[in-house]
Amino acid sequence: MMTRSLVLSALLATWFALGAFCGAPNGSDRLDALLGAADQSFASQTSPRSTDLEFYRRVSLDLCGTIPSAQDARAFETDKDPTKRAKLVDRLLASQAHVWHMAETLDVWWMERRPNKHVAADLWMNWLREQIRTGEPLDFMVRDILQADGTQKESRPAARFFLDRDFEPNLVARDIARLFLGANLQCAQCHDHPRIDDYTQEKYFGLMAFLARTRQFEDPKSKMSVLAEKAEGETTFVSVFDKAKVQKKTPPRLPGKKEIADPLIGKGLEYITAPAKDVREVPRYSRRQQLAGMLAQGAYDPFARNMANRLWAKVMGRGIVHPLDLHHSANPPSHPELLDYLTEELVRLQFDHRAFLRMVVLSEAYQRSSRPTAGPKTNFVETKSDSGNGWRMMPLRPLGPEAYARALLQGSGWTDAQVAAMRATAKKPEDASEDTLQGKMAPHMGPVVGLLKSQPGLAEDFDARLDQALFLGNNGHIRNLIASGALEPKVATMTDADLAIDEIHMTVLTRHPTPEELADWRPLLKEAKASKQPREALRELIWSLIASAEFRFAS
Amino acid sequence: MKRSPSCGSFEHGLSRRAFMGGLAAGAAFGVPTLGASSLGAAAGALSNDLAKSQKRVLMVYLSGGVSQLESWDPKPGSKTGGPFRAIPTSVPGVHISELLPHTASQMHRLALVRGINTAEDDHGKGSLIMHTGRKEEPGIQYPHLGSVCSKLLGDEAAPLPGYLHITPGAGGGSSPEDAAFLGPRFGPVGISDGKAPLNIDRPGGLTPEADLARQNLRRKVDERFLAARRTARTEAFTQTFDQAKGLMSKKGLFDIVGEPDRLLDSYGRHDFGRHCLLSRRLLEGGATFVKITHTNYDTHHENFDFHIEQLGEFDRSFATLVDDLHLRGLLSTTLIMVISEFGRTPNINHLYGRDHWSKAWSVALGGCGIAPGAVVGKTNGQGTEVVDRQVNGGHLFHTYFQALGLDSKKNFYIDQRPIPMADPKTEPIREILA
Repeated sequence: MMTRSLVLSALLATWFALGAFCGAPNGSDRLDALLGAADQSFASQTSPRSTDLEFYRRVSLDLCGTIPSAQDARAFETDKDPTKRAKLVDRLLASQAHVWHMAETLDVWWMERRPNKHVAADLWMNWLREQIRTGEPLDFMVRDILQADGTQKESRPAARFFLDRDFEPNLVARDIARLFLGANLQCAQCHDHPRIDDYTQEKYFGLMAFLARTRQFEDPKSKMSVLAEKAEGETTFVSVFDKAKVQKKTPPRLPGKKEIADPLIGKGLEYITAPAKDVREVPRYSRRQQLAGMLAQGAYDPFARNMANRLWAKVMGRGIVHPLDLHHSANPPSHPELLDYLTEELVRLQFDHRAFLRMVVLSEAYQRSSRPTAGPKTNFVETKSDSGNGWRMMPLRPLGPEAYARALLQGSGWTDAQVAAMRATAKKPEDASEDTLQGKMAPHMGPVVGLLKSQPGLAEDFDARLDQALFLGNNGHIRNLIASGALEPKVATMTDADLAIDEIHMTVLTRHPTPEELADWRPLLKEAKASKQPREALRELIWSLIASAEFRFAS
Repeated sequence: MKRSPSCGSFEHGLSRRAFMGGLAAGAAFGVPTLGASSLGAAAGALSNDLAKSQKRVLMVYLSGGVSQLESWDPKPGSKTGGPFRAIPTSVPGVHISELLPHTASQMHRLALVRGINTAEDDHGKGSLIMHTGRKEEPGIQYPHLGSVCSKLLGDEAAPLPGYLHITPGAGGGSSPEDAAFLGPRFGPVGISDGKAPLNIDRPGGLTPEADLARQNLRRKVDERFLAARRTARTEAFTQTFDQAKGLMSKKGLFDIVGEPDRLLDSYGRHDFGRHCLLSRRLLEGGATFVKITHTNYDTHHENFDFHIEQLGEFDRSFATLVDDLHLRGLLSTTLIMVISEFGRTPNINHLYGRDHWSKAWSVALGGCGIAPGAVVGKTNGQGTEVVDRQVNGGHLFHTYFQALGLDSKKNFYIDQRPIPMADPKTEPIREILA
């Protein structure tokens, strides 16, 4: 494992060095060609390219889960280098902020906010971050997860996937199918899916057969929960629709693949550790171990396709197959050739999420403005607009809970104040490192994440709720961030009103105010500064931008 | 008993008479009378046609598992019956425990389901059945009744949230996960110990004018940003600020101090009494679903003493609430249910307690769509088994939905997957539907 990661790190470094010279990789061009291929009028309907500032904010949110500081944004804006977008993307992907963000993303994908049960969340998060930092390919990570039995220190973090689901077999089978294969086979637990021909009970139980011999076992000495597995036991099922109640039997089989027969093992040799009271049984042949290697690899198309679709959806707002866990023939991809291509690329790139995301975010599709052209009617198109009308424009996308929380810290000037303080007092480099900063952010992000995150076991989804608005408007947390941030004191001392208004907009929204907005804001700023409590009044102006939809959604 | 085919017109007629002619008919049975002071308010409520046509739900949750033998299905004189008598009610032939004298006088506005067998003796799982109408299933969470009602009966533009949960202690009550796939906005908003929801107060130092100014500026920013690119999600987001404003404007509802002394006395000057009164104010103020939790009925020892105490609180407050809803013309459009996670064992243990028991127990319903005074289901002489019309959580859910005028055989859809609103293996309990 160690060698593998080291080699990958070295490759990654070389690749980034190359990337910096190349600008947009060719893959991005191919992607754009395929996206527009289906429709001749596509090119005439697309929105123009985003501005540099729009792009910077967008790509920071998507790759690092936060917005840029006003200072960084200004530097990027004035940079004359024609390849600056590609260089920015490389810098962000190589950053530790990306490591934190990607680990959060995978955690939410795979654990779905399930509470900590048997494996500490920190252990798991540190493991995820270490995988991302060292460039571990996504298929290797999933393999580690499916192989882990939790007995070894090394495999303990990855075992969280199983252990914190208490290895409830139906739940585990369902989630492996949903999260790693994009197929929600839930209905097929009791009968063939009534409306989806591809989702048969046989598929569900073929997958279940890999898992059914495994159980969660609490070691009586260590009190630690681990996985144990039997060497026998066949998987059978009956359809609830079958009046004759015919019992069917299935060996392990991945959907679309051949059955896997158990090897012949001599009688009495079935176990490395035989079942006994308070003993964790270990079979000579593990069905579950077969699953990991067969499922999590490029050669198994559903796995690669699901991963490509999810990575695409992460930065493009919606899957090419949508919902993300309903890949089947009656729910075809909106752009089949594009998804084929993305899947092939992900496999060719050996599941290197950085290379894949780089290709996507440097495409013209990703770089388009979120404002529609005059052409297509896009006003209030329910759900369809999540894809920006087939990515003719960039859809508006709600920030994830962590990204929103981090953006609040940055947009209020809290992060700038924190970074300045850290740099002033740092005794050694780690004192001012990204990890240290993230550690300081965490408690301030907590209340916001808690309010926005999805419920355990449900896929992360946006939901606007009353209590969130009450929190945003009235809770002391947001007010304290603004009050303790660097933005308000900075603006308070600026004598040029237009510059002050510009600083507020750049800090909160990563853009300059329009002439219209300048005209609106000049009297407001004047009034605030002349009021009895000018600082408080100034903070309310900042709040108006922080509480806006423009701040809540990535554009 | 005359039954009206349409939801509540029977009750509506009654309440009109009450309004025109004086006190409630129920007063004749010795209900705590509310007095003339409440009639003015009743007139106000009745004149509001919009509020009248809206359907609402009041759930009283007796947490821990109330004893059916000390409440709705007494077995006096039997081996399992315990020390209490059964008393007659306002419905001839129907008797309930003597611990519920005030409720007995409201019986003509309620109905009893005495044949419940939920076959689940675990608190959490039993509660899940009673709140979702389903047994626990791996891999799927069904929405709680309050969330379903909030979604299907509520008006999103209403100033109050659709599902409010008044909890006995501080904290809790807000559990967005209860809404499951309907989305957390339909989850309960907790009213901890009857106090207004968190963050309802404008921050100190922020004047109403300054608040309005900052919200107006925010709105202007939003309008510019969203021009030509509004989506369902951006709309939902910007609307939450209006909802917050609506709730803040209704803050006064949470303050019951201004209610007349006689009314406060009738409801009872204890937490549960105050919570019942608050629930009436919230229902009247436009809430769709209000749940009140009363705790704790988990009487593994000293069952009888505890039930005297707990039901002593419950009885008068609940009866007053039923009467008050009726007087205000709200009962006909408000479905009431009094539930627990299960009942208690007929067997009395050596600590004079009763344990968990889901095999044969009862709940009380009333109001919107429910046949007044109806009783369905029967247990045997010692209450150890259902002998007639056995039902479970699924039947109850079909019944609730039908009573509210909803087709309980319809489906929700998660993406393309149909999820029946109520367990398709069960049917409504037609005998108690009006």
